[in-house]
Amino acid sequence: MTPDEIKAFLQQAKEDPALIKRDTDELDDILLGVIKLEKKHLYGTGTTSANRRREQIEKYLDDALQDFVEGE
Amino acid sequence: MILKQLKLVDFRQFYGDNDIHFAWEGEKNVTLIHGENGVGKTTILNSILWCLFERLNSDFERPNDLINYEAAREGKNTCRVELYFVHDKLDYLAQRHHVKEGKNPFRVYKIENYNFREMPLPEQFIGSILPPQMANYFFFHGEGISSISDRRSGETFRRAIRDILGFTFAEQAIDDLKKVKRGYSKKAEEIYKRNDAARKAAQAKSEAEDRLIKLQESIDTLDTNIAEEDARFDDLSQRLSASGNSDANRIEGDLRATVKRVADTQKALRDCHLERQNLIFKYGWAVFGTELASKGLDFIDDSTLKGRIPSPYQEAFVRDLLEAQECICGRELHAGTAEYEAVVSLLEKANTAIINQRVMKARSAAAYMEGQAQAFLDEVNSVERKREELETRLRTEQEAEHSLQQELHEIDEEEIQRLSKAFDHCRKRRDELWTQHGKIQSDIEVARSQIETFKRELSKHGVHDGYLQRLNRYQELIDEMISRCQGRLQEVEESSRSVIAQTVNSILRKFSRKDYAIRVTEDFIFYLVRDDGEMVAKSSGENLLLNLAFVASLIDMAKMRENAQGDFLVPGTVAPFVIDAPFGELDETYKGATTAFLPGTARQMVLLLSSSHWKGTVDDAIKSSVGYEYLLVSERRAEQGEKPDDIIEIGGQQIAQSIYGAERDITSLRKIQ
Repeated sequence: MTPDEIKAFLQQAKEDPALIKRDTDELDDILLGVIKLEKKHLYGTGTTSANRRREQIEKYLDDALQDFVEGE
Repeated sequence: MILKQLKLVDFRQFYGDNDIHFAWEGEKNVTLIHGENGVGKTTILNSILWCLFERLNSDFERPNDLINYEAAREGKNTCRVELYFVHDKLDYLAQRHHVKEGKNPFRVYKIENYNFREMPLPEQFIGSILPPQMANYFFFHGEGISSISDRRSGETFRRAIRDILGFTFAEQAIDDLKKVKRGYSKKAEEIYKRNDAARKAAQAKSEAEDRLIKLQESIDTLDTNIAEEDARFDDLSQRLSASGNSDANRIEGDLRATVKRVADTQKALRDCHLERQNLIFKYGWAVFGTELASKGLDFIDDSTLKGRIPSPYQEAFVRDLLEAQECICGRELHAGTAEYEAVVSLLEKANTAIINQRVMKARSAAAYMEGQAQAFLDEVNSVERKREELETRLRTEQEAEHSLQQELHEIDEEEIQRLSKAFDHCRKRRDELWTQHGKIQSDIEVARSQIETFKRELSKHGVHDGYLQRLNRYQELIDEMISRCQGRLQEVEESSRSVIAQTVNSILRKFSRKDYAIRVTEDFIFYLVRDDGEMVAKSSGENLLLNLAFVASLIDMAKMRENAQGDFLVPGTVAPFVIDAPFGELDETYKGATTAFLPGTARQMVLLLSSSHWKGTVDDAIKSSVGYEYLLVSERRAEQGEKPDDIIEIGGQQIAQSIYGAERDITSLRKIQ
C-alpha cells in the first residue's frame, strides 16, 4: 500500500471502525484476551502490581489454552 | 481531550488561584502564553503533565518543591492543579493535590448540569483518553529533543512512533507471554525430573534457554554500542565535510561510500558464516550417518544379490506345505519327523509383507541419507564459493579504504589529521564490535539449535504423559501468539513509517526554503536528502523544523487512529498540542513557516513563548488563529533601582513583564485583551 492508500484507509476506518477488524481465529481471540487484561492493568497505574497482572494472565491462559487444546 | 481551563493553586511560581482559559473552538484554536525565561512557561506545561499523570519532565528543576515558596512561608502545606477538559462532548475536571511530604491524591469528576460526579479509577480513565506514553508528544518541550538524524535517536523515534501507534499493550503482552511460557516450561521440567534421562535433557534445555536469554541481552547491548559508534562516525564525517578543505571534502565523500561498501561486504560475510553453520545443523546427522548408511545399504544390496534379502521363501507357501503335509519333493511331512522340523524352521526366515516393507524402508532411508550428504556438500561448496568471492571483494575494498585514509592523513592540516585519526579509531572500534556481534550471533544459533534438540529428546520421554504433552502444546501455542503479535506490530510500524515520512515531507515541501526531502531508514533514522538522494548536513534550525514536523505528523497519525477500537493496538487520540519554547533556533523565515503549519496539525494548540520566539514574523503568521493570549508577569519585592523597564509589545500594547516593589516574589498571569 502506498502512504496515500494507507491514509485513505485510516480515514475510512475512522468512519467505520469495523473495517480494521481482521479475520481472526481462536488463537487470535486468546491473544486479544491477553491484551484486554494488559489494558485493564496498565491503565490502572498504581492500582495493580506486575505480579498480580501476570498471575491473572496465567490463570486466563490456563483456561483458554485448555479449551483450545481440547478442541483440537 | 480538549482543554478548557487550567487552575494553578499555590503551585510553584504561582501564588493563590491562577486561571488560564484555553482557546478551543473553531478556527481560533491557539492559546498564546508569553513569558521570559524562568517565569513559569515550563511550569505550565509540567503542571498539566503532573495533574494528569503525576509526572514532570526530566529537566524540570527541583521537582519535589511544588508548593509556592511564599505560600509555604505563610504556613500552607498543600498546592493543587485543576484541569477542566472536554472529552466526547462531556465536561470533566481532573484535580491533583500535593500535600507536603504526603501523597498526591488524584480525582476526576464528570460535570453534568453543574453537578460534579466523581469517577471511579481516575488514572484508568485518563489513560483511556490520553495514554501516558502518547502524552510526551502532545506536551512537548521544543528545545528538549535531540537531533532527529542522530543514529542514537533512531531508537527514540522508533519508540515515539510505537507510542503514538499504541504498541504499549501488545509489547507488554509479548513480555508477559514469554514469562508465562517460562512458567509452563518449569512445570514440565518438574515432571521430567521423575525420569533420569529426561531430567538431564530438561536441565540441559533449561541451561541452553538461560544462555540464550543472556546472549540476546549481550547482542542488544552491542547493538546500542554499534549505534553509538555509527553516530560518532557520522559526526566525524560531517565535521570533515564541513572543514572547508576541498581535498578533505572529496576524500570524505569517497571514504564514506567505501566504508559503507566494506560494512555491507562484512555483513554479507557474517551471513555467509551463519549460513554455513546452519547447513551443519540442518544436514549434520546425514553427514555423520553417511558411512553407517552406506554400510547398511551395501549389506542390503549384497544380501539381495545373494538372495538372502528378501528371503526366497514366502511365509504363506511354507504354511501351505505344512498344511498339505507334503513337501514339493514328494516327501511326507508329519509332525515330529526331521523333514517336518526342517520345513517348520523355514518359517523363521520366511518372507512376510512386513519384512518386505522394512527392507524397502531401510533401503530408502539409507539412500536418502546418502542423497542428503550430497546435497550438503553441494550447498557447502556453493557457500564456500560465495565466501571466497566476498573475501576477495573485502580485501580490495579495505585496500581502497586504507589508501583513502592515507590520503586524508597526508593533508597538511592539523584539524584534518586529528579528525582522520579519530575516524580511523572509530572504524577500528566498529570492526571490533561487529566481530563480537558475529560471534554472539553464532552462539545464539548454537543455543537455539541445542534447545530444539533437547525439545525433541524430551518429547520422546513425555509421550505417555497427557499433562506433560499439554504443557508442551501450551508453550508452542504461546510461541505462535508471540510471533503473530510481533508480526502485526512490525506490519503496522512499517506502514506507519511511510505515512509519517510522507507527512513530514509535505510539511517540508511547503515550509522549508530548500528543496529537501526526508528519508527514513529501517532503523528509524531520519535523513535530510537532496533530489539526487545525497544526505545533507542540517543546520540546527532545520533540525528543529524537522523535529516539529515529525511531532506534528505523529499527532496527525494519532488523530487518524482516533476510532481504531477493537484492534489490539491502543486507539489513537485527539489532544491539545502544548509546546514550550518551540522556536528556539529558528530564524525569522522558519519561525513564520513553523507558526503557519502548527495550528493545522492539532485541534487545539497552546504555545508557550519568550519574546525572542515571538518577535518578528510569528505574530503575523498566527494572529488569525489566536483565541486567548496571556502574559506571565514577574513580580518582585525588590525595588527597580537601576534596572531598565521590562516591556513587551503585544498586539500594539506596551505591557510590563516585570513589576518591582511587589507584595510577594511570584509570577502572575495577565490576560491580554
